[in-house]
Amino acid sequence: MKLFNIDLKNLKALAVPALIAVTILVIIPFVILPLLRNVRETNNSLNNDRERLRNLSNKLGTLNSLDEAEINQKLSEANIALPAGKQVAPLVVGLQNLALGSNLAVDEISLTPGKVSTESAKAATASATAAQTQPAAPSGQLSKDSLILKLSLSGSVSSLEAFLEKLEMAKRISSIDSLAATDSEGSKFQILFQLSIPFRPVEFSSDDLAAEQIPALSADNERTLLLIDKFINFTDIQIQEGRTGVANPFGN
Amino acid sequence: MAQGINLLPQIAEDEAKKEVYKRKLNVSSIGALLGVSAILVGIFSYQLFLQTTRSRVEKESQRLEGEIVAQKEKEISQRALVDKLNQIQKTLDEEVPVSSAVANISNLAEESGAVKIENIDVNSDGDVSIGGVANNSASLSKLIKAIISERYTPKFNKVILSNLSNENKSSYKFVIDMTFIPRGLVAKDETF
Repeated sequence: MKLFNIDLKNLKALAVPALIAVTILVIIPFVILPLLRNVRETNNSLNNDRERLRNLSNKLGTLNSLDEAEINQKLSEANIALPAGKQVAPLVVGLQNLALGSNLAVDEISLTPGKVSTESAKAATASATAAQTQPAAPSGQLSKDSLILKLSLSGSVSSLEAFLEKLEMAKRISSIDSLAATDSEGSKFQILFQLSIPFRPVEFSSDDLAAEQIPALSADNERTLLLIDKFINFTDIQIQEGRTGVANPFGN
Repeated sequence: MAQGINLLPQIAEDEAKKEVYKRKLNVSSIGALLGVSAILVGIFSYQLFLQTTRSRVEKESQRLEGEIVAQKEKEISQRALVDKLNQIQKTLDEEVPVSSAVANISNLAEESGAVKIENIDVNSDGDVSIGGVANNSASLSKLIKAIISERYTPKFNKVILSNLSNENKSSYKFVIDMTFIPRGLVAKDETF
């Protein structure tokens, strides 16, 4: 039978190959290509996971090789130079001792406490000689990770030199923001300092810390440790802190 | 003269050729289907292999993570130690050695003879301003020459006599601005 001059018998014979061709044409874009994409993604993820596993393995090796007692001992040394908190009281008393030991009279020590002023800081500031606490510095001067101290001293230039040398060789590190020495009477100078004393709280990273490599102590780090070990610890002072958060800090 | 044409054998030959083509087409299409199926099976198997490997790697990672977390304190201490030492080192390396600046100014005044330093200002950038009184112009000249001498050039630069006034007959009031160059609280060669 012929319909529109097409031989249906012949067409029937082509049905199987045509069906197969259609199936293949459907399978390639709708099955094989998505599958290949999946394979690629899984392969990438696997590579990342392998990289992470390598990092974890290296890190565990490093961790196992570290001596915790030694780290803690070095950290306590570094904490004297750069404590986690402000530790104002021993600092103020220590600075006062340092100045007095250099034959400088301490006229005033005032501090810009930052956002939180501790009771011990207030107590220490108040007890530091005939201190008259000045108003805090403008908020622009507040630093999140350093304490600003203003010192007013008096004495000779040689005493000032001695004090500066001790300060620069002190374990608790500080930066002199400004120094103004003015001749007041004879060879006596009125000296105004602004010291910036850094502290560094321990910070936690929000990233994948587990796979992050542990920084090793470099040769420079070791040298710094040895160096600060030789410095003078002027904040090694025990101060009885008052009770805080109570109406009567002197009561039982 | 009429010529006879025999069509029947020709038709049979065409039919036979068609059958061969049909068979070949069928075989090739089935072969293609089998090929595609084989590729599919291959991809599936590889995907399965990747997923199995991945899950094994993840399990191993979890085990290592557990061991690392167990030593968390040690890790935090080590990180804090390195961080602090880097910061300390940076401060020690970059600070202006103010004691050295003051000592040098003091030496300059002494070497110049009749010069009295009345005020010294130093800031964290190393900008230094000294003001004082020189009993005579020779002493002032000596002071300025000393500051710009070879001995002090590595220490002070950008020396500017920003103010000079004749106090009385011979003495001069002066202000000198300059920059103190050295950086670092501990000189590298004297570290150890």
